Amino acid sequence: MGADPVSRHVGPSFEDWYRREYRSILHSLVLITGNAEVAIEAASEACARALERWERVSVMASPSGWTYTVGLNVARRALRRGRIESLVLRRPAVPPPLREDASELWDAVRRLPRQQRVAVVLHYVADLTQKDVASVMGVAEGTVAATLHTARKRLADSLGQTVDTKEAGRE
Amino acid sequence: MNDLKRSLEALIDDTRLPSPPSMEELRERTDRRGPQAHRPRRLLAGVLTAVVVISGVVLSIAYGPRSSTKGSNPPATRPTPVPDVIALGPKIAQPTVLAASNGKLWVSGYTSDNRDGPLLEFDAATGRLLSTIRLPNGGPFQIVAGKSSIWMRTQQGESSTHLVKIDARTHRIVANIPLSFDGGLAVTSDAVWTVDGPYGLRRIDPRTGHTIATIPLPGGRYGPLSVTAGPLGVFLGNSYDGSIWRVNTQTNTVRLVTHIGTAVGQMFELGTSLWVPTGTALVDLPVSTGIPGRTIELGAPILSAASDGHYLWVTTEKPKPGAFRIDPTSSEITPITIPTDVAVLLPVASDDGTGTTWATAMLPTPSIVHLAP
Repeated sequence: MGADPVSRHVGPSFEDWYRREYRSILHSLVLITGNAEVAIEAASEACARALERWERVSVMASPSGWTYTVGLNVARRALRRGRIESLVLRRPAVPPPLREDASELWDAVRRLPRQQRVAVVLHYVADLTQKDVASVMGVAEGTVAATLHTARKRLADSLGQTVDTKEAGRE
Repeated sequence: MNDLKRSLEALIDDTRLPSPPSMEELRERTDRRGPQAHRPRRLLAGVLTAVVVISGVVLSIAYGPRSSTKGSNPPATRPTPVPDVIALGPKIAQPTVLAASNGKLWVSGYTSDNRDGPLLEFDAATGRLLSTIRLPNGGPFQIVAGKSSIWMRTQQGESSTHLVKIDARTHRIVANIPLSFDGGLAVTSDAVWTVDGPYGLRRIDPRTGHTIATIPLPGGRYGPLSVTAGPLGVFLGNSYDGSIWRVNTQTNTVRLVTHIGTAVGQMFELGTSLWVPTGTALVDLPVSTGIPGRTIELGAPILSAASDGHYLWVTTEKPKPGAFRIDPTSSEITPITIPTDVAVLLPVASDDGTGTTWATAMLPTPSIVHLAP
């Protein structure tokens, strides 16, 4: 390996960003994939790739958005293989480590269609703006807004709560 | 819903998650990356996908042209001379599916840089690459090849999976049907059968791609996933509880045949029996009685199994990769000599049109290996 990419970097420190963002990245991937093992690996791999390219990534509009994109791609590939693995070895997925009182909400989140779940988690857990969520998901910002609206309504229906269509996360 | 953010953030119990990787650990990851980094995953992909596919089973039993299902008579003609090894080249470094039909070999998987690879068509007699077909979705995990069509199941992500139909002559993608969950695939002359996870068994018109019926399956998320179809009928295997089910194609319902063990692999038909891989053994399940009969013990975990219409073919993974031909009448097991540098033998597929059986293999270069005693 050549020179340490971090030591050559003059902008925001990778380490600071990493300490601040890792937990959020991991939680988001756990909730999106529903598989703790896959999420842990994907979060670590995504952060390692961010470290490797930190000079470029740190000056992006959203370093976290880039890292989420990488993490989701890594997770998708792992899940694809995991599906095959579970078929062959009958190995169950490692479930998310939920809090004891969280099963109802998790069931509701898990039942969301994938696009809605990704949007909700990236927006509310990863704290990405709708613009960044759109970038990560490869869709228009308006699509994210509509997806979030639908997802919130669906969650409210599942949880038997009143629908609040107002935006609760970052714009 | 105003507290949605707070509630979602509090879903995960942090105390049950590992500590973040240290900076050193992250750096080690970046140092490790390179040509060697894919090797373990490549091997894993090979091992894991091997049993899944069993393409030739369905192919030879259910879909391709066949002359016999007696299971006791050796092929009347000598197998066509074929190359011992066909190199896959850089386009497929991690093969996941293999089918053999009408003198053609069809293989797909992942590239050396872990991207979705194309579907490759080889001439089995010469080993020549005939065509490279770009797939609309990545992640193939099941394939059935017939004379006019290739059917594949693909999985792109957690909830993105498709049934793809390819015209074997024009190589055009003629159908790309979205499904909800992964599951087995089998093809008969009048239907494509594929499991859509807990939604059930889809019976699809092979000409139009329309779903004729969705047959409910017991067990929900832990229901049967593998399906096989042939002259004896359409059967489902549940790898979670070892149950085997038969489809009543008149009423589009299923009924339990038997419980055979907890490690039911991809089944296939030969003669008057359903053959069921169960860990290290093959179990003979006569369809007429539904009562498990002989057990042929291989002594090593079965990776993949198929039938060429006369013999059973099995690949195993431990203590070293092995391949065996089994006479279903005498239960005689004949070891197959394979190249010494084969690391893992992947899906095995038989083409009873040419009397040849093949397996993809992780040699120093990924290849298709001809299996012959």
